[in-house]
Amino acid sequence: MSIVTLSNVSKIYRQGGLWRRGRTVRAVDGVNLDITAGRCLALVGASGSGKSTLGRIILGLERPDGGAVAYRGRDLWTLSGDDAARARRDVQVVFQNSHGAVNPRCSACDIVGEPLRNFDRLRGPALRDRVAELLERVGVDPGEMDKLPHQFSGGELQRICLARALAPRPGLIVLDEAVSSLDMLNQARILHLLETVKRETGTAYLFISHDLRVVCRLADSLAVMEAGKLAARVDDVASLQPGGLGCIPALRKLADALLPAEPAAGGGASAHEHTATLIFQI
Amino acid sequence: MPDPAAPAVPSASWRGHAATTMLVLSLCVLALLVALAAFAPWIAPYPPDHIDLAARLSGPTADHLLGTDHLGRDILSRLIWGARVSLGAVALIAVCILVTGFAVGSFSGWMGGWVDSVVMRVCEVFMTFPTFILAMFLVGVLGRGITNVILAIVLTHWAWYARLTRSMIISVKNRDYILAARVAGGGRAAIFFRHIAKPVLAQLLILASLDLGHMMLHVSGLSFLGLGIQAPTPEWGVMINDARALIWTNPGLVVLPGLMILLTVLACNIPGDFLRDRLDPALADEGH
Repeated sequence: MSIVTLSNVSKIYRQGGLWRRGRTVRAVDGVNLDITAGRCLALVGASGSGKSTLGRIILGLERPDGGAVAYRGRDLWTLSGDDAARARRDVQVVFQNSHGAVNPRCSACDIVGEPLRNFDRLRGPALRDRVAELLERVGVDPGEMDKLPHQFSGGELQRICLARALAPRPGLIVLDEAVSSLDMLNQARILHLLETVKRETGTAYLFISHDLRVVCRLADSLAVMEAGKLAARVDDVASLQPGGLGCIPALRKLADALLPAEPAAGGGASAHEHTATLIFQI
Repeated sequence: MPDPAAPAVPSASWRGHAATTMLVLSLCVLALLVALAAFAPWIAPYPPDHIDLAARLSGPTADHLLGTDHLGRDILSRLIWGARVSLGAVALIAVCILVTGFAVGSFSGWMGGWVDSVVMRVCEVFMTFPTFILAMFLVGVLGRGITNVILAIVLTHWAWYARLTRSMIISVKNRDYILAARVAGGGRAAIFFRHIAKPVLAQLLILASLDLGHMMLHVSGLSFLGLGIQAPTPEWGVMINDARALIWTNPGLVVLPGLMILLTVLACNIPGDFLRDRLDPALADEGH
């Protein structure tokens, strides 16, 4: 069953100010995409290819200029009242920069508690209990819930953001470069946590990234964006042979842009084979 | 165990202690001034305009603790009543400036686009003039008196607050945490008050508390020039102006109201500095 379906969605940004006519940029251009419950769809592409804009459209934060966004079969932008609130809580987000994604004046409890206050009308001890439960779920000590964001490390704060996203029990979480600014060790830990959460709660992910190595670990299917358009898709990542990703032309540039984690051994392998092995090493 | 090699400079905790002492002291002074202003009729030994020509220009005596001026009015009483006028005017000015600046600035920053451009051009017109000269001009046009002094100072200051509010709102409104708050189900008004207005108001309060002294000097300065509060009213600037001719024979008549202004300005600035350090959450921890 699909949670969000995009049909022929476009988004145009206009630059320029009051006096002069600016040029227009087609950030997203005629995209069709279907996000299925319980599966992880990876959206990869170079920076500026429209991935994040597409993520915001799926979140309902931006209204597309053309095409339609359907939430569980109904047009997202005509929903109202309880239906709109249900759609709102069903699609959550984790951003790349965890320090920018939390109000520096709010404690961890306020941050994780915000959706609980808004959606579930939780207050007082009930709220704190639920926040403690969520923090424990993502591996943060609930005893630290009254600390402010700057007292946490980047990895811990990203876990807190994940706890906030999990709080309303969503069907879909948009992970907008959610592990890209973390070091390798924290990336691996958060990915492991995401895998566990997906297995236990059946949450679907839209995993937006430019880093093919992390994508392959989590994704069930894959879509590649290039200049606002969908350039390629892979419906079953697991069935790909090693080296298979490097054969998709749209992915080749991305694969080549990866820095090797260690110097290539032997030296006989071509760049593509090398990146392909890198991809499957993780 | 104390380290014998420790350098003999004041430690951070000592400096923190001194800062806290200054803060407490200035808050006490401020509380005292407010109390004087509030309870002036009961505290002051004489009415502020009680004239006793027989006792004119007397030094400190048992009857007149700080002496009398050229009309035989009790200095202490006039200083106490003066607190009422000066502090009252400054408080009113500060509230008006904060409300106007915050309202205009947040409207402009939140709307953006051409609304923002128009409002900012209007602000720039007000900011082009030196504040004191514009205040003098307005008092000249509108006439003398306390109401016009307050109006003039508000008109010359609100634009700075609006500008600051607007720039802070613009820097905050596109942050990821505002988007995250929308995803977390917050309504527009709730997000504005919870995530945007609170930090902006905190910053504005700091600016205002640092500016209070400045406003007080404006009120006293305009009164000293004879443009503001008029002669019989006991106001510190007016008192200095009245005693100008007597500065060499009776310096106390000028020095005492001057000291009151100085004390008030200091008592406002020190808590302002403290607030500025405290309300930045990242800085707040470094003191410990």
